[in-house]
Amino acid sequence: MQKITLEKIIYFFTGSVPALGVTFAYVIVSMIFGTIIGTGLYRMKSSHSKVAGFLANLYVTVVRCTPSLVMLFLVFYGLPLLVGGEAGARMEEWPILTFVCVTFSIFIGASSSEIIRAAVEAVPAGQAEAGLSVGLSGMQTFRYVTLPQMLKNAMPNIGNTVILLIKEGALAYTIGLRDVLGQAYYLSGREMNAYAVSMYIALTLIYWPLTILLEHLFAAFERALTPWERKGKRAALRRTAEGGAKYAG
Amino acid sequence: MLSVRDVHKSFGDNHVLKGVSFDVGEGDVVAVLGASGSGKTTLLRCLEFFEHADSGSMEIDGLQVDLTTHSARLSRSIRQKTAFVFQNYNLFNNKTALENVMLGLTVARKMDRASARKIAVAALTKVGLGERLDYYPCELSGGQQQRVGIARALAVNPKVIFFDEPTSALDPELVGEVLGTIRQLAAEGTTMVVVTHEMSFARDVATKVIYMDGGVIVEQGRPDKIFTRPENERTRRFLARYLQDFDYNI
Repeated sequence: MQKITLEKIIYFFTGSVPALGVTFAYVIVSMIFGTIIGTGLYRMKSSHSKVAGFLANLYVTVVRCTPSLVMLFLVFYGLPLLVGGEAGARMEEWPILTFVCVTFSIFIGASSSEIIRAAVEAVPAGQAEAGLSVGLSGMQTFRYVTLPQMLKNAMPNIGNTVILLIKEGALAYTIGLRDVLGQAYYLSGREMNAYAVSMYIALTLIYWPLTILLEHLFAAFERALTPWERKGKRAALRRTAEGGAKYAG
Repeated sequence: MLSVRDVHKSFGDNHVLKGVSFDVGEGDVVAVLGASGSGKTTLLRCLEFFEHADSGSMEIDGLQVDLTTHSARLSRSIRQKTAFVFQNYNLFNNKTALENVMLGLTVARKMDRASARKIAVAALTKVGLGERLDYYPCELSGGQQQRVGIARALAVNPKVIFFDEPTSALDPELVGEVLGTIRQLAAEGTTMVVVTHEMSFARDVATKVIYMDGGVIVEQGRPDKIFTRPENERTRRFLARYLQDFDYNI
């Protein structure tokens, strides 16, 4: 029977927390490249070209239907083979983190293309037309009118993706990545997993506050991005109050 | 100043515009009348390049342009000479009244903020919203939003302002304030093309009335002529239907 001891929990906690840097590294890199891929896919989907639309949809379908663990192995073992030859052999020397970033960029690419599409479509077409009508170029209209409104629409989904990524990314321990989970497993392994339950408790104590913190952070981003919504709520309250007063009077 | 020649536009099998031509002189207020589906709005949207016409051309302020063009540069140079007031206002939701009016000046015309602000404040004051500069669209009534829309159009000093049914989305009690603003612009000599269902407005304010039906201009001329002595049978029937309501209001 295993014993859960505070001492061991603290040991695993303090031993694994520094590895958060690795977690943040692949989250940030994958979000950036994933968004770039997603933007490209969205543009292909919304283009007039049937071929581009088909290819983009094919990408999304294939990626969606692949479990992340399978994709991770495919990239880690498959990519060097695919490249082949000397270059492929050299790829095998790459840090594991690189393969993890590639894998999750591919994933985020698929999901973010849909997030971007939903966010853009939620901004009424008349907003862009109004921008053009005052003489803005298409790019300026996007920059000043569409983007601020669509970022706000996308923010909850971006937050969800980051949180999902932090948890999914833990799978990367299977190819030897020392992120938080990988580091904890490594420490636990050194003691023949005799204190595994303490380790899992320590992990929970890392992941919970982190996730809650991120949720609040993204909610704060969303509020900061939408000064007009807060004013709007105030106006609605004021109207309700006035209406109420009218009826009461 | 603005002349439009032979505009055709189809959506699939639906031939919406079948060769529309008209001229607008400096200071003209042209009211475009017609039943729903007669192609009025599509016509305006083609002139602002929100739709690509199938054929047709336009000359504005000495600049000749093919309405079928897909060139972003060309359509932008035309849009810089015009302004558009939308049925649903389409104010930028993420910007205050003042910012809505300033954006076309600071970004599209590279004007410095101080001068742009001065022009924007003047435009908003003109439409009676000098006290509402820092309000977001969602804090304004429909009539106020539409007046910001008019100020936004005015501020860029366009050769002509297109109005697409500017009062159709408004509550009846708010129609007056918007029409009043447009009347004021007309009195100051602003060139405007107004698609509208407001017959009394067309009769009193317009210098020229165009009646459209089935994608063509059935009749055009001075309002007193169109309203009292329409030549075409279709115009007569249309006016009879609408003026019934109108007569009660007198």
